[in-house]
Amino acid sequence: MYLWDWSIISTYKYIFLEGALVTLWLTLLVAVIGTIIGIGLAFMKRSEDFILSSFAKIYIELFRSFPVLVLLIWIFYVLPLFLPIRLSPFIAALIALSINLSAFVAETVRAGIESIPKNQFESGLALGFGYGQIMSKIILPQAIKNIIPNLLGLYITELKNSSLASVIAVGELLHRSNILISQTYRLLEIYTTVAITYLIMILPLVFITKYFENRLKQKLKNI
Amino acid sequence: MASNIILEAKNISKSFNNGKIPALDDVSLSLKKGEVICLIGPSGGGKTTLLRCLAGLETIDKGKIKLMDKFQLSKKEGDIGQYRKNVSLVFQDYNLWPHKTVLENITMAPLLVQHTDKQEAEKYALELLEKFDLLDKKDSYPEFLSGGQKQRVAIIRALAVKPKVLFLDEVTSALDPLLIDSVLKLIKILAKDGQSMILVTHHLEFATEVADKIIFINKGKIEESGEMQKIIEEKKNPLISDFLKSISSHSEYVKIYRGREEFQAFQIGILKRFPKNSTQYVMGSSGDRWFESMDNYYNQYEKLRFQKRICWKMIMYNESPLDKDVRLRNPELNQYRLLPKNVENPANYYVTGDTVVIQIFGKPSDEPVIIEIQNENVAKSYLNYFNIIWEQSTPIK
Repeated sequence: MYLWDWSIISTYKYIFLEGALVTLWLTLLVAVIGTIIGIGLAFMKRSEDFILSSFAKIYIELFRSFPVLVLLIWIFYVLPLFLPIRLSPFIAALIALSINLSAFVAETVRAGIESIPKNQFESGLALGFGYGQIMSKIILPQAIKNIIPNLLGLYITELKNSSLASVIAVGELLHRSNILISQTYRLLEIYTTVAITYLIMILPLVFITKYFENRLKQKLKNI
Repeated sequence: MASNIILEAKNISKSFNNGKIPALDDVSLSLKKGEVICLIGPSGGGKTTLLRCLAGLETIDKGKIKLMDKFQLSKKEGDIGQYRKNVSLVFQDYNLWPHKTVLENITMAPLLVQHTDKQEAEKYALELLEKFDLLDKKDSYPEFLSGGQKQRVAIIRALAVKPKVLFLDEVTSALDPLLIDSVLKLIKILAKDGQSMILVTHHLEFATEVADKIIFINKGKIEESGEMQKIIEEKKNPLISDFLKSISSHSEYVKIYRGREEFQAFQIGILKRFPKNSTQYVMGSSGDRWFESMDNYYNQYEKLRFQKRICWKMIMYNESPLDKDVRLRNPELNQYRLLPKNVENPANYYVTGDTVVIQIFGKPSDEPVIIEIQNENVAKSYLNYFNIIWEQSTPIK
């Protein structure tokens, strides 16, 4: 019979806390960078310029189909062979996860923009608005309500994906826990704690997403 | 050139799909300051395209558009952005911005495009709202307005930028007959105030009342232009007289049902009108499109049909052996022969008593339209209008 020893968790609680902070920090940075690049890509894909839109199309299709883990390992181990740079594990993870997220954000934003009827755009044109004004004042304020719940869903996935960074030794929650296991051999307690910690981080995000979705539904009901 | 001409279009042509679908062919017109021009003509004739070109929403392939000697548009030259700031277009389906209140909808363009002072823009917007009886709606969102109110707000929104020329594209066709009056009244006031306008309309009486000049457009060309009375009196062009005849008899003999819901209601309604144990003959080519449009109501329709024991017979245009059979057994069918000129436009026709029913399905994405005509002569002109040949059929022996 296995003897559970939960005292180990309270002894090393700071290790879990630090790991969780690194996970959150990594996710936050990825979310910010990925969203900015993703929005840029969405507009590039919609642009009439052939080169820009083709580039965005290839980028999005390519990185949506790549497994994140493969991308991560490739950037960390293979990329330095071609370029005269050495990436720290954290930076490599940041780049790989951001690239992955940006491809998904681009599609979400594009779909959100395209969900707004084309005549909303034309009504702006007919009154003399420029492209930027129509986007910022007419289309995006309406599209954002469709985009935000989907974006939050992507961020949740990204938080989970950040655990993959443990493979290249980024000191996030899972990696630190693995080291702890190799020192204490209390595998069951530590992995259980890891699972609970992830749950604590993700559940609030899930509730926020639900809240936005409900508000959207309420709004649609009114119309 | 006389200085009071505000908008001039010279020989403009426009086609879609890289020249495959011609829309406008060598159209010229000029609008004087304070003048109102009505564009009339059959659907698909190019009225809306002309209006969109003049409003700067479409680029033209050939020709020139000149606004007040200041702005010029041609295929390659001209600042279309600057041009658009001086005109405005009101759409058939309002296109109000749902996330802004009525007042914000109206003031947004003056604030962002004209860079008017906020107080001034609001003052002008409120003046317009008061003038057109909408002041109490200023803080409502568009979703809480009726169709007529929405369209009036849309017109006010277009007016708020003080356009040199205002374009109105069938602004009443999406509205209930009851709500149309309020919009027409507004347009009349604008005409009286001296706003230069070009509008597309199907209300001939209204056009006669408000327009200084009427332009009849068909197949991308101006067929006739001048004063309404003149056009009607002269009736040189058989096409125009047909069109006028058909459209002016709307109220008396013609009922039009648009969209799926009305289509379904009509089908079930007409079944109720049929006597028991009778036969409904349908001529046409709609096939699957009919079933698709009936949607969930198909079961209800069939149930009613079985209850009343109404026989349903479909006759295709091409005289297949089956059609011939039906005709031989039912001599009353030999009275009419209806043939569409282009088969791409699926449609059904049938005659019940002295009423002719035409169901047009159009492209798969189109909503079905039903036209019920209670007068044979009017029906004939309509059939011509929809490219359908109507002739007394020779009996089959």
